[in-house]
Amino acid sequence: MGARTVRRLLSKIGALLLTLFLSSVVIFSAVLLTPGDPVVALAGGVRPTPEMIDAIREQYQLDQPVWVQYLSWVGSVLTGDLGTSFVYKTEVIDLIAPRFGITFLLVIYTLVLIVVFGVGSGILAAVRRGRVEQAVLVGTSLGVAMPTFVVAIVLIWIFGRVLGWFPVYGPGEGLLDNLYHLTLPAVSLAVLYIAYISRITRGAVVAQLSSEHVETARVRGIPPSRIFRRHVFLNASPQLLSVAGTTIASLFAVAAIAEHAFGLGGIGVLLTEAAARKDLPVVQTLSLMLVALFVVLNAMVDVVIAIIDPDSARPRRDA
Amino acid sequence: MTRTVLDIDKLAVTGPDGQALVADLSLTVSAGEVVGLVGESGSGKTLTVRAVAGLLSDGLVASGTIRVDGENLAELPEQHARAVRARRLGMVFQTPRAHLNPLRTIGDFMIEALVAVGGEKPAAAESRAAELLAEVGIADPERRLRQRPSELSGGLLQRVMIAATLAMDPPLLLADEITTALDVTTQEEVMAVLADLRRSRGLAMLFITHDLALAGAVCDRIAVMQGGRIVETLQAETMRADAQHPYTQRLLSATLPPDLMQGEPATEPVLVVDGLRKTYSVRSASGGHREEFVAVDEVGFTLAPGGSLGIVGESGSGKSTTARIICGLERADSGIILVKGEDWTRVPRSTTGWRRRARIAQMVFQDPYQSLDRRQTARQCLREAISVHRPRESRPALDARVDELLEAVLLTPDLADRRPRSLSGGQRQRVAIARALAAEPEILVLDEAVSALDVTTQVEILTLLDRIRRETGVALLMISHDLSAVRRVCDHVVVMRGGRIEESGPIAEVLDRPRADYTRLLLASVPHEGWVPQRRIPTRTAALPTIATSNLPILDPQGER
Repeated sequence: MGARTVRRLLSKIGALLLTLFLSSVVIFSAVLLTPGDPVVALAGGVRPTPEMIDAIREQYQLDQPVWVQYLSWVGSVLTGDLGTSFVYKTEVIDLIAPRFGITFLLVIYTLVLIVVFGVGSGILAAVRRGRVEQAVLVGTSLGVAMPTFVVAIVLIWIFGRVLGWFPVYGPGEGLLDNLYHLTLPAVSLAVLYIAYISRITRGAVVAQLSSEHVETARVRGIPPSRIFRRHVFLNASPQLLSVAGTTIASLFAVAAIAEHAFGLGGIGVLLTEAAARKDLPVVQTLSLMLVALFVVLNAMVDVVIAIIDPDSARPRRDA
Repeated sequence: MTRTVLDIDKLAVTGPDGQALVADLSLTVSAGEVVGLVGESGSGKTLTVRAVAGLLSDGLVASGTIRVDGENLAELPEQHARAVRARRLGMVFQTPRAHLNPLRTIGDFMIEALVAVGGEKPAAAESRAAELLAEVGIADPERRLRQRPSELSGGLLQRVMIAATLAMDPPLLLADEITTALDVTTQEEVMAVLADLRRSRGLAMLFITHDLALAGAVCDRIAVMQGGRIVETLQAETMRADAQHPYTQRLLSATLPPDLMQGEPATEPVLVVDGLRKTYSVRSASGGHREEFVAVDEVGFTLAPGGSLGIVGESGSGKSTTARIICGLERADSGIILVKGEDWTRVPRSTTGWRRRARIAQMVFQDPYQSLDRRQTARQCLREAISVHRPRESRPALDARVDELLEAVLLTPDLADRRPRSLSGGQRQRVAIARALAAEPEILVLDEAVSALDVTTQVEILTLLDRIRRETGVALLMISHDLSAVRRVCDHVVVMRGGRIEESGPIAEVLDRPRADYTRLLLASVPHEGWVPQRRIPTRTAALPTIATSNLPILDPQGER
């Protein structure tokens, strides 16, 4: 590993830390920006008892200058002390831990659907011009236009009520039952993303198919399946990967819609409810987790792209 | 009687609306023979080879017979036809960089066909690949196999392409404008490689070019195409005497004639460049430590108002970097650039700074298809360019100015509403020139602005530029590897090599009585009657090409190997 690679890696990590720092500042200042007495705001909309006021003052050190407050907050988050929810009256960590599993499973399930059907239909549309392409284009226009909540309601009606194939409420027990229960929620979340990824895939693959280096491979008699793997899909993949990072991170946020619609009770529901009740310790923790996830995933995507295409990471130089 | 390797009989290619793009074309190539297919862009020569190679795009239909080594490609099932093409013919294109997968190494590219088509084991394929690279004169093939296309020069990549086509020992090579994008010395090297292969392997070639002089020098027979048909077929040796068809005679006369200009009266120069130096830090050829690569070294010249200066040199000579520094696209390490007495050495930071510079200097690039926005019509493009400099102009006044610009570059108004895709290469470059003129600049920097065009279009654009200069008084700074193009419009010339100025002065003096050996070498590399391409610079391939050119000794102009 050359000195330059190390330097590039360090600057990447620096940018990553800076993003995390800035977002933690924004998330922290949510407390200060809430109108009225921060103690009341921190109490989450309930009338605080004198003991609560003391507890809040102690936890947030409200008599200290703002930067001391910030540092002590960051310090406690980093040491694993995420604070106490004033609405649920329990440690934030105990609220998140049991709910995380089901959301994680839901996101992974959705992701598998997106990759299989989104990338699959995109490739199909690019390779089979004509009817298939038209069908995919119409389907994806529809998919992009349909709000997740509407999809959920339609799915509940068709597969839950009319056909009765899938359960429409609760997460179920055990992994297989979990997956069975998560099918409709995952589909309803995936529809929009499948349409989106399908279109991006189609565009990227079409661009590569008509590129000159693919033409060369064709003249050389390389079998079409091999051309597709080694020249078309490989070269289209950086474009797909660059949207993959943001897609995965945003799935954690929009999971709330499916969780609400299907009564799953994951961290998405926790976040929206905490936000509605101004349960700031919970909102802050979850927001920080989402930002961290977002930043880390994007950094990973950058690394993978740089492995596939080293020139993308190198500053451009003209001879 | 020698074997016929390619027999095209009554080939026709029709477009989606039934228009005949190629009609009634019959042509044969015998083993070991080089046949040229010559014509302007749009004459159907490229479609013809693409039909042979099975690369016609959707919507184009070919009829007639194409026999490669006796096998009629049209009658064979698709998979069988693909196998015949893979083993019996090789194709090399104009732009090697675009035709190689940028994400894969040269080794991957070379080995792929050997494994997938030839059924060789990867290890055997790798040593065979190294042999093939060595056969086309690439030094240190093992290292090249591990590199990616972005690390090689255009000339080297073109040799890689040629080497790759040899993998299956095909009897026929299809060469589509393979040297058009290369500078004259590199062109000569590539042609010398092909001449060697022809001798050693008996390789037959169908050689597509718009350059009749080049075709005359390397081909046995030449078929001249116009409007999709072959208008006449000539023996290369006697083509000048035998040419009957007026179109052929026009092509012959389109070889750029010298058009000398009077020197400008002494005035304050509009551009002064002095002591310009630019270095890059690059990975050394042996890997590991970093090396300084001097791209531009102590370069200085002046440009008179309304004058024209050509900077010539091959790729890697630093001519483009010099132009980019002047236009503020790169920063010089040291040196001075004075434009109308103002210091332009620093790159402007603000938008207003850029805009002020843009009013004085404008740039026209080699590839108008890439420098124009493909979604904008010519009119929209010009309108936008004008309103950058005259933000408060009314719509009618804008349109009037657009018409003026179109007229200045001799484009008819009906072309104004077309997008780049439906304009020809020459028309696109006219739009690019009109866009540059929209700012009413005092200096027009032309970076290889005509290199990608065919000869007749080149002459048109060069004549146009010359006229614009006389009429508007804009000074031209022309960067080119093409001596004839520079001779046509420039009154002064600077010859660059490896970042340094080899020679400079009035055009007639430098080109007719060259003092530097290198200028003589450049002049000798231009295809002309009785030209035999030679590998003049065998050491060129030894290291990273950009570095190699900077520390080369001056070579014997006789071209001894």
